[in-house]
Amino acid sequence: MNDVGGAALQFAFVAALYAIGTALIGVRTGRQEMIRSAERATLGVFALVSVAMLALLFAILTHDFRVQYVASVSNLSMPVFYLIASLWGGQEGSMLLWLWVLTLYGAIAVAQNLHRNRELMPYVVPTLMATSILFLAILIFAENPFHELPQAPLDGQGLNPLLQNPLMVIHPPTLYLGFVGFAVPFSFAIGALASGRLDSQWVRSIRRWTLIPWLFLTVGILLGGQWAYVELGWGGYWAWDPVENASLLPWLTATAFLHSVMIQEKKGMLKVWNMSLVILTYGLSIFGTFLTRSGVISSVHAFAESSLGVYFLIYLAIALTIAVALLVWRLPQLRSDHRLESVLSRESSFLFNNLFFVGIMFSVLWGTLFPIISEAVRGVKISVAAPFFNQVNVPLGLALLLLSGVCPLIAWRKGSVRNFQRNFLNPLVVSLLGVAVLYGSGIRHVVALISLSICLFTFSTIVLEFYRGTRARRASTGGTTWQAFLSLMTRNRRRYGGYIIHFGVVLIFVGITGSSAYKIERDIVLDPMEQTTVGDFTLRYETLESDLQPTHESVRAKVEVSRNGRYVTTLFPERRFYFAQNQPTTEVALRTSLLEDLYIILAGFEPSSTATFKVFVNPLVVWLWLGGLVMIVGTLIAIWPERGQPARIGARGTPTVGAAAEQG
Amino acid sequence: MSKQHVKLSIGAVIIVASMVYLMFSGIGATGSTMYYMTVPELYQQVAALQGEAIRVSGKVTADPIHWDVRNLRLTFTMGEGEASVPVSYKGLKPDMFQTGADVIVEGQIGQDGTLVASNLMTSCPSKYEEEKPTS
Repeated sequence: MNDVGGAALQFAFVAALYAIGTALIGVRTGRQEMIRSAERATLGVFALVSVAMLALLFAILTHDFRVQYVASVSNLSMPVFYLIASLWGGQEGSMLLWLWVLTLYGAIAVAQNLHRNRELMPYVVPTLMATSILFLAILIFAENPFHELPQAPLDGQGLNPLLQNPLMVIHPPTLYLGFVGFAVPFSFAIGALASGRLDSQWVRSIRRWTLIPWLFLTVGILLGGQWAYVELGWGGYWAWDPVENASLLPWLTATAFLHSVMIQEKKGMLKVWNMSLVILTYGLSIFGTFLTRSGVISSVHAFAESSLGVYFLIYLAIALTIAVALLVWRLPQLRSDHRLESVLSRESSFLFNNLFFVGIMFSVLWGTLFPIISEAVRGVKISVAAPFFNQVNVPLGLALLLLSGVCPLIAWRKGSVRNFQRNFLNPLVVSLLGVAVLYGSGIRHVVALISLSICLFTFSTIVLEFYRGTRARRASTGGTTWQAFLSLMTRNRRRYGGYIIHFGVVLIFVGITGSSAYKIERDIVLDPMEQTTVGDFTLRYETLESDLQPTHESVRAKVEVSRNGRYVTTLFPERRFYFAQNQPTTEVALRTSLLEDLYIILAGFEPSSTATFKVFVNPLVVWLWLGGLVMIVGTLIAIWPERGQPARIGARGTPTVGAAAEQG
Repeated sequence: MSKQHVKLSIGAVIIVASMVYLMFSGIGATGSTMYYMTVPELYQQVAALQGEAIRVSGKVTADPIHWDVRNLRLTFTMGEGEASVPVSYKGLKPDMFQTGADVIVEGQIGQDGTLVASNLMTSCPSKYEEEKPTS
């Protein structure tokens, strides 16, 4: 089976080369059958890479420890669930997963466009296949997952216990589905540039293709934060670590694109800008993979240092050169159809929104690369820590949040003072009243007050939009308020889905504000039956219990939690020792409520059962995860195909051809 | 250029300028930046670096590791080749902390040449694999 897997990768490499060559010759000579053949080769590459995936899975499930990868990430005692996860638990396997997702997306893109975007496809296919070749080359020449050891060990090393967590099982695939997915919009952009079909159709074709990876990336980032929070035991969810930043960079530019693309669709403006954002997003997703894999920047997350960096850098240089050259070549055809008419218009507010997203992206990139830059310029490596990122991004993030409240309420083309009064008076009053109440209840943290007031403002503009829309709908169609509300949603999925995403973002800001401004952190040492108070909570340490399992030994402390004399819950912070990996792990005890998380770590204990705990009270953390769920719901609403309304789309001034493409 | 364009450009310039300002002042702010070095690099200039914020990467040496559970104080030696530096850290002992582990330490060099750490990271909470036996 291992030979089959290795051979499948080599065949895939050849097939991908074939697809590139055939598609490009086909379009030069105008021979459709060659282009079709290239598309079939794309499907073939997907099939071959799937075979390689299955072969590796087979090796893992049958404990074939001759394979070095299998021996390093799995062992005999792991349950099947984590065995499957170890398919992407190591460097080679996760690269294979990356490639597989890419070829899967490629196959879907080909299947979807058998009769559409025909002028673009001869370029879309080679672009996708070129990215596949990068990963195939790495897997064949540098990091072969099927590499065999001279002698098979009796048992494998097993998956790192810290990774044996359901969140960590779904986090990497989710993140990859996001990262990799940006290759599709990129290849359509290249297709549009190369073929010269620069009308708004390609933009419409890729809107959904951008939203889907964007959703996966959003979820992947949040899952990563949640994993760090529950598993790593430092009480936080985001540390501005280079690897975290790497996942944030393409997310920022993709989010900017999802906003500015609306201006292109509706007004035919910002064409060059959008093209650049698509290219930049793709570049950053490849760059992020490079940062994570090459060991060039030291990170607490870093993979084993390796020579992979060269592959990525060469590829990235080639891809960006071609993309930028094509863009410059097509500049004359990318002129705007309209001009901005007012500073106070929705167009310009989108422009500012984009400026902020790209600005945040630059500051994060700057901070992440600063050690390399400073070493090159001054000869000393200077690393940048969290305070920098917070100082820069808190104001920028808050400005963006404010814009997300303002933006949808400003009229297209030209806003007016009356328009402002009508739309902003109520949200402003709500937000000021809210701040007064918060101040009255003892909140004095200035940044928290500003942040929460903006959250309230944005939230009320969203509510106002739903309220006005529903009322107008009801006035025109009758029926109950609920019916009008539903019909409003179903008829404007993109718009109202977008508002729901914004609502999710508001919740996330509330969570970040609460947990960063009012975090309590305490180290406590207790003898059995002793108690102490942390925040409002009284913690009573009762006993230490130990337990022997096949894979690990565990020691847990029983802690009774009460508040104001009332029993709340009993928590069991735990330490485990895994035999196979010779490694202890900390199992956090967590009690979550809407107001705050009580987070207890058993730091250690003495033979006398005296135990040391680290206790965090993290306010509002759960709002982050709730906000993430709301964002998922909103995105799904926005992605869902709108059906049977050519008239409305037509009325917006877009041709029906485009409307048909949008159904895809 | 129309009047609107001028206004818009002014707005954009103000935003960009304030972002650039934030980035530069952010780099200059206290606690934002640290010299980043390996243990041998630190070893050569311990005296010069006293009081500076530094971030050091190295390995936990075989010297005795002292872990005072009661006070959450971890003392150990970090080294690479000939060079080594004693470290004193107040906080939790990370799960993957052990002799030979790659660690990153943030802190300051004290009077006695000890690196007083405010932050200790094992360089692999999610480094997915052990050091490769081959290559």
